[in-house]
This record gives sequence, structure tokens and C-alpha cells, in this order.
Amino acid sequence: MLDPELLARVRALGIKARTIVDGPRVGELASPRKGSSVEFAQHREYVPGDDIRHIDWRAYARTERYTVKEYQQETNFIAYLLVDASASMGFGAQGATKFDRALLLAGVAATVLALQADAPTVVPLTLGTTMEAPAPSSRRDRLERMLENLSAARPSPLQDEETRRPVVATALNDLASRSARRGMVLVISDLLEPLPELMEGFRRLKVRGHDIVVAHVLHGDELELPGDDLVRFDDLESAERLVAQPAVIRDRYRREVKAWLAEFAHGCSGLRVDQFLDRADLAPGDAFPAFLARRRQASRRRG
Amino acid sequence: MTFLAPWMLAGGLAAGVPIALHLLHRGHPKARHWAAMEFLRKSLKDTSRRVKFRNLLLLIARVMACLLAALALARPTAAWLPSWSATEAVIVVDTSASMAARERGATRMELARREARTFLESLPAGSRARIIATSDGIDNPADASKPPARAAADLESIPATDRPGDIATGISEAVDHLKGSSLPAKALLVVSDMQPSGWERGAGRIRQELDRLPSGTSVRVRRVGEPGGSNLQLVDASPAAGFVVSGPRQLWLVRVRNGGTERATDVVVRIGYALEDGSLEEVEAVPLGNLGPGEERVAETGLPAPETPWKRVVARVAASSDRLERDDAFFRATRIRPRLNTIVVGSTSPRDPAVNLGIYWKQAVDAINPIPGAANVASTLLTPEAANRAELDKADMIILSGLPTDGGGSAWEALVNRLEPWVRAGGTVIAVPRSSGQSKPSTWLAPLLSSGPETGAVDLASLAGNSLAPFASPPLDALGRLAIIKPSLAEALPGGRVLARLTGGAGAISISPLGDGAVAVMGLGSSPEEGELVLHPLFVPLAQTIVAESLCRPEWTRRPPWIAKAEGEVADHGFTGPQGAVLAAKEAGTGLVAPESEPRIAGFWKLSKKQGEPEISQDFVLNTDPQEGTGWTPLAAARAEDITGKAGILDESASPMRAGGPEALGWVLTALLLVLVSESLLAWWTGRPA
Repeated sequence: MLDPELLARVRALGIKARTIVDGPRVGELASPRKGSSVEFAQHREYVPGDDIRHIDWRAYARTERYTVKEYQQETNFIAYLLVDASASMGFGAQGATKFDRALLLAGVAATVLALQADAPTVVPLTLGTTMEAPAPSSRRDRLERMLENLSAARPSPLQDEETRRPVVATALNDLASRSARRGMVLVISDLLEPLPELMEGFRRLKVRGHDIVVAHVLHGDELELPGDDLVRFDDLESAERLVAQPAVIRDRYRREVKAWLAEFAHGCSGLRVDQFLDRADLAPGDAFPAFLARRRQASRRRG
Repeated sequence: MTFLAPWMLAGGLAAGVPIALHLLHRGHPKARHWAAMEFLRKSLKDTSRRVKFRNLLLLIARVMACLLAALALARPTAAWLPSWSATEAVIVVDTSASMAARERGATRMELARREARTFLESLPAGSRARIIATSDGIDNPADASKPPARAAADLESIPATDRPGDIATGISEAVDHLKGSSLPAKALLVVSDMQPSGWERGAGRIRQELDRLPSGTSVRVRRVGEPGGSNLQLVDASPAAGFVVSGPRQLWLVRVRNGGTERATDVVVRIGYALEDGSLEEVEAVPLGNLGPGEERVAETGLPAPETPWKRVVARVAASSDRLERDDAFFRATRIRPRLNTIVVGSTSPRDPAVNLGIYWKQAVDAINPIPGAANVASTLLTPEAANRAELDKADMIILSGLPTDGGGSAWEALVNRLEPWVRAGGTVIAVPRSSGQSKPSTWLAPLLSSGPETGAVDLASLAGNSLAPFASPPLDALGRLAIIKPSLAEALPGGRVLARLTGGAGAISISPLGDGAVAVMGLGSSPEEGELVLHPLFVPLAQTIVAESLCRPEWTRRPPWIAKAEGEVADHGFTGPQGAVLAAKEAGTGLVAPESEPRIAGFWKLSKKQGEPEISQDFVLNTDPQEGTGWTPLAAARAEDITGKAGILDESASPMRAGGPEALGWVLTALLLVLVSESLLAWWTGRPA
């Protein structure tokens, strides 16, 4: 399931949260609680009651004022890997569906996070079911079990029209209402859902202090609408059928897709949600590492 | 609307192909699973209605294209079919005597004018039209192409003449005119009553002329009047010799045909001279018995020929079964010659100066003497040197026998110089070249031949051309092709038969089949020293025809300049046409006649119509079969329908139009264009890449 080359590149770059997150134990990332840990955070004026051991005497020699050194406690974090397993993710050629690509991204991300001693949890999102997140863990055996569970959740067509709901938006809202600790949320989905609901989910998670990353998985055919002959399009998620001639509607279709992607990107930008597009019809290996590199550079510029 | 190729309408079934394809294509789209249905839905919402409309338009366009193509290939014909570009139009109007026939309150000429006007009105803007009135020649040769409205106005001034029809000449002129036009579209309309006499006799020429038409010319032939004859008809009345010499009795041949569908009983032919009050004098009556439908018979009768320059001969036919009020009549103004003195000029034999090489022509003239023993018909054999001015003054006709065509030496050239003023004064020359098969153009005879239309010499070699050109005038054209070549060459032709041999055995005159309908090859010029000429019996009518033709050359009977001046002033005399005008002027003594130096009006004929189809017919053929004897028999020529059919033109009275060839192609291209334009426009409209 894992692409060694992709794994190596992602591991080299690392997956780090861009915001302050909580973790179950000391780890690589900064904790919001400041104290006398290993990483210097800031100077502040001494106030009575402070431990005099923390006074920076060198600074006193220079400034003749008592200042105290504060350190930031490093911690690990929980990463929620929300993987869309709705029927629409089954689009694509055999072995190169969007879900296959989602599996790959989730596996790589979870493995790298575990190696970083962070606590990933992989949550498959399926239509009509309630999200159940396994306990986050960086233990190898538990990680493998989570990935096996994910693989088992193959996308399947929805039989009952009534239970059709936007799985990602629902999962985001569930997570926002449940999780107490701030962590990273990695959403891997085609996001073929109403954008307002998605954005509301992102917003609620952001309010909770989560760092959100979206791996937007789409197939090239969905972007381009190839072909000339008359085609009957059968919806993967319902019994809906549409007959159309791609050659006739292609331009209009592309304009719609482009507008949708632009609107999504604009919404993410406003919420400080990082996102990248990964085409399932292209070879894996470039989009995710490139995204991580961009994100790392942006963090440095900001820090 | 009618269709020239109605079976092509079956091609309209092809219109079902686009429909079937449309339905098949529509019924079986490829199925494909899809995830991003929302975008499809939005795209379809805006485009589906346009696409459906576009598909419907495309379907209609393709079906229409198939139907149009089938329609075009079926060659629709209708008077209202449009032309798209300025057209050079020529209307050949038959003005022969039969066009004066009246049917259902209007003459055929009036019907022809009506047809021509309709045609002119249908011409697109910018077109030009020329009217060619044709009888036995072109009546208005100087008329030029002009706007249709002016051409329509000219139609009113074109009358039916009293002459026979020669539609081929008119078509020939039309073809030449159309060839010289630069307008993109060309059209030819022929309006005629399609008398077999004009159409059958000239079948070959009509076909040849139509073949010369510029590519893409639209040809229409309109018949006016009822086809076919339905009663007793006087076909012809002419002197047996072809000309009349004054004397106690002149033999006349009157040809009668029953063109009706019933048997004519107790047929009687009368012939006499017409007086001004309409009565006849010197009447001879010949009973012909009964004539079945389609039967034709010739009555031989005699008339005394008084010493007067002109007489109007009238022939009439009546039958007890005839329901008509008045007899059918045939008029012929005939010049009665006071004498026919012929001089045959021939070179002497180089071996025996006592032998003149023109001896066989003298024998031929003697043999065709219409009045044996008459003092006013004589022939003399002379050498070129002996034919001096005094001898010429006594002669009415001169036959130059064995005339060298390559210059001939001083004696012949001097004779030609002496002949020129003699010809201008009214003499007739028959020039028989010595070896015409290899002759050059008789350029040195040009002074004689170019003396003018009303005078001239008959140069058989020039008529025959250097090869085998046909004689232009009837009845010689019934012979097919007449060429003057060496007898040895004639005998070499397959199937050739010698008609006249010298006593030594050498051929003098031969007849050979030539081409499709050719009959005669006449070889003249053998040296009589090979033996005495023994005339084949056929040579007599042959020579008779040549002599008669020489005396009555058609071009000499056509409108000389002085006739046109006199025409208007004597129009109320009751005669029509230039010949009638001349005759009327002569009879009335008005003085508006030809000068004595130009008296070559051989006569005119007029056929009065009483019912059915009046006809002037000279469709005779020379019977060359010795077993059946010698004589003229009716020509078994192609019928008019055959001619028109072979020429690819229509013969219907219901406003036919030919829209084949390029016009059909135009329809097909238009249909294809319609499809392409529709496709392009709709593809552009719907944003589909073309």
C-alpha cells in the first residue's frame, strides 16, 4: 500500500502542525504550556514569586534589570486522518481510483506521523455511517490495524437515497464537537459536497484550534470531461443518470469545475486551511511532498 | 412540374438514413460511471435545450439535403424553375409557312410568340436575348442580342413566311451566337410546329448543331400546334425537270399525301395558272383514286408554258371524302424561261484533239431535256477557247466540265474572266472540277463564286469541300454526301458501285456508301479516250438534279436587297414574303421589281392549311437499287421524335424544361452547401469545435 519513495520524501520533509497543538506526551511539537522545558520561548520581567533560578543573570549584567527566561514545552500531537470512502471515491480506472490514491496518502501520512512519535488516527468516512475514530496511537501494530480497517472500507454505491449525506462535512462537525485537544486534521477526499457545509466544518475545527490540511483528490477525467460521443453518465452515489455529449458541454463543464475549485481555494485561504490537489490519474510522488515543502517554507517565513 | 429522370426520386428514400442514424445514435449512448454529477447537471441545464434544437435542425437539414439531392437528380422541369445568373438566351422561331396555320383561334406563329414571351419574361436580370427567325434560312441575320424586353417587342414584327422550314440553320446560328457569349448561363429555346419536313430531313444537322452547343446550355424545344396530320395534303408541285422552259407542254409533278387517319376517296389533283381573280386557267385534272392513311402519291400532269417570264402555278387537291370547305392549294411562282441553251465547255483530249472531255455532260444534258426536240432547248460542246463572248450571249447555262482546280491554264482563266460579267447578267454556271478528290480550293474561281448571293456559279468541288462535305440544299442532301472524286478512288471504296462506265471499262461515275447514311460518291474526270462513255440510267436524274439545283439555287431565291425595299409597298396585294412581294410587283406592274440583270427568283411555294398539318416536304431519296429501277422514293428518315430523343431534348407541349447536367449538379451542390453551412453555423452557435 505504501510507496517507499513517496514515504521517504514525506518523512524527510516531516509533517508538522502549523499551529500550536496539544499532545498526549512530550514530543516534537510545541505545547501551549510554557515553562522550563528545553526550548527557549521569551524573556519577561521578573515579578515577585518567580523562581529566582530562572533569572537570566547575563541579561541583568547587560541591562541591570531582572528578567526571567521562559521555555516552551515540546509535545507530540494527535492527527486525525479523515479519509473519504464514499462511493464517488471509487471513480477511476482499476487500481487508480481516487480511493486508491486516498489510501496511499493516508498510509504515508500515518506512517510518517507515527515515526515522528505523533499519534495518528485514521478514520474512514463512509456514507450513512457514524464516524468512529480509533484511539490515536503511534504504535506500529495499532497503526497497521487502522490502515487495514481503512482498506476494508471500499467505496460502494449508495442504495438508499434517504441516507445520502455529505460525509466529509458531517465528519468535520462531529470531530469539532468531540475532540477536546487541539490537533491536526488531514482530510483526504474529492470533496464533491456542498461547499458551504464543508467550510462550516472547517471553520468549527479552526475555532477549536485544529490545524487543517486537505488533500483534494480528483481524477483527470473529472477535470477535463474527455470524449465526443454521446454518453450516459451513471451517478456513483445514486441512481441518477444523465445523457450528454461531452463535446457539446465540455467547455461549460470545465468552467463549472474551475469556478468550484477557485471557490474552494478561496474559502480555504480565508480559514487558513492548507490544501493541495492530487490527481488520481497521475503518478503519485509529487503533489504531497511538494505541498509539504511549500507549507514548511511558509511556516519559516511566518516564524 | 415533371421529372426527366423520375426514377431518381427513389433516392429520396435516403432521407430515412439520417433519421435512422439519429434514432440509432440516440438510443444507444455509451454508459459510464461518474462522480462529479453536479457539474454535469449544471452544464446540461444550460446546453441541453440548445443541443436538442441543434440536433433537430441538423436532422432537418440532412433530411432536406437528401430530398433535394434526389429531387435534383430527378431533373425537375417546370417553367417557373429559377435561373440564378444572367443568361444569354437565343430563341429560334420557326417562321416556315406551316406556322401560319390557325388552330383554336390562334395561328401557330401567335402561339410561338406567346411561348417566346413567357420564356423571355422568365429570364433573370441582366440577361440578353436574341430572336432568330428561321424558315429556309435566317430571316433576320443582322439582329443582335438585346435586353429581353426589347427582344419581346421584336417578336411582334416576325411573321410567318411562305417558305419551307430549315430549323437546323437557325439552330446553327444560335449555337454560334451562344459560343460567342461571355455570360455565364446560356439557354436555347426552339419554338416550332416540328413539321417532319423540316425536322426529319435535317435530322443529322440538327443533331450535329446541338452537339456543338456550349457545355451547360439549357435547351428547350416547344412544339406549338397539334402534332401530326389529319387530312389530305398537297406536299409539292414542281416541274419535273426542276425548271420550266416555254413550250407547248411542261411536265409537272404534284405530290399528295393523306396525313389523316381516314381513307380519302376519289382524290383529284388539279393544276393550273392562277389569275388575279383567283380562278385558274389552263387547268389539268388528274384523278388519283383513293389514298389510305399515310399514303403518298405523285400525280404527273402537263401544263403549257407560255412565253411569259412569270406564272403563278396553283395545284389543288380534292376528295369526295374531304369534309373541308375549300380545296387544299399549293402555289408556286415559276419563272418560265424562254429557252435553255446550254454550253458544255470541256478540254480536248491530249491524245485526240477531236475528242472533247465534256462529252458525257453534254449527253447528260441532252438526256434530261424536258422537251425532247424543242428548238429552245439545246446543248453545245465547246472548248474553253471557243467559248467566246458571242457564244456566251446565246447561252442560259454553262457547264464547265473537267475544270482544272489548280489554275487551269490561260484558256480556262480567260474563260472565267469572260464569264464573270456574264454571270452577273444572270447566267448560270456549273463548274465540275476535273479531279476534285484531290483538288485544292478553287481560289481562282473566286470572282465567279463571290459575285453575290443572287448570282454565282455552282462549284461542285466547293460544295463537296476537299473531303466529303454534304450538299446543303434539298433534295441533294437526301443523297447523304456527294463528293466528286476520281472514279478509281470511288471504286476503291468498299461497297462502291460504278454507275457510268466508259466503253473501255473505266469508271466514270460511282456511288459508294459512306459513313452512316452517305450514298453517293460521284467520280468525274476520266479520260474519254479510254472509251466511249456509257451512261448509267441513274446519271440522268442525278444530272437533272444538279442542273435544276443550279437553276434554282436557294440562295438566289432569298431576299435580294431590292426585295426588302419593295416588300412594304406591296404587302396589301395578298402575298406574303419577299417572293410574294416580287411576284405581286411583277403582276401588278408596279415596277418595283428586280432589274433584268437579277431575275433569279425561281419562285416560291405556299401551302395553304385547311386542317391538320400543312407540310412542305421534299424528303426523297434516290433509289439506287438497279433491281427496283431508278426514281425517287420517300425518304425513310428518322421521325422527329427520334431526332429530339437522340438530341436529349424534350418534345412535349406541356412547357418542358431541361434541368439536367450542370443544373442538376447545381442543385446537388446547393444541397451539400446547405448541410455544410448548417453544420458550421450550428457548431459555432453551440460552441462545438468545428
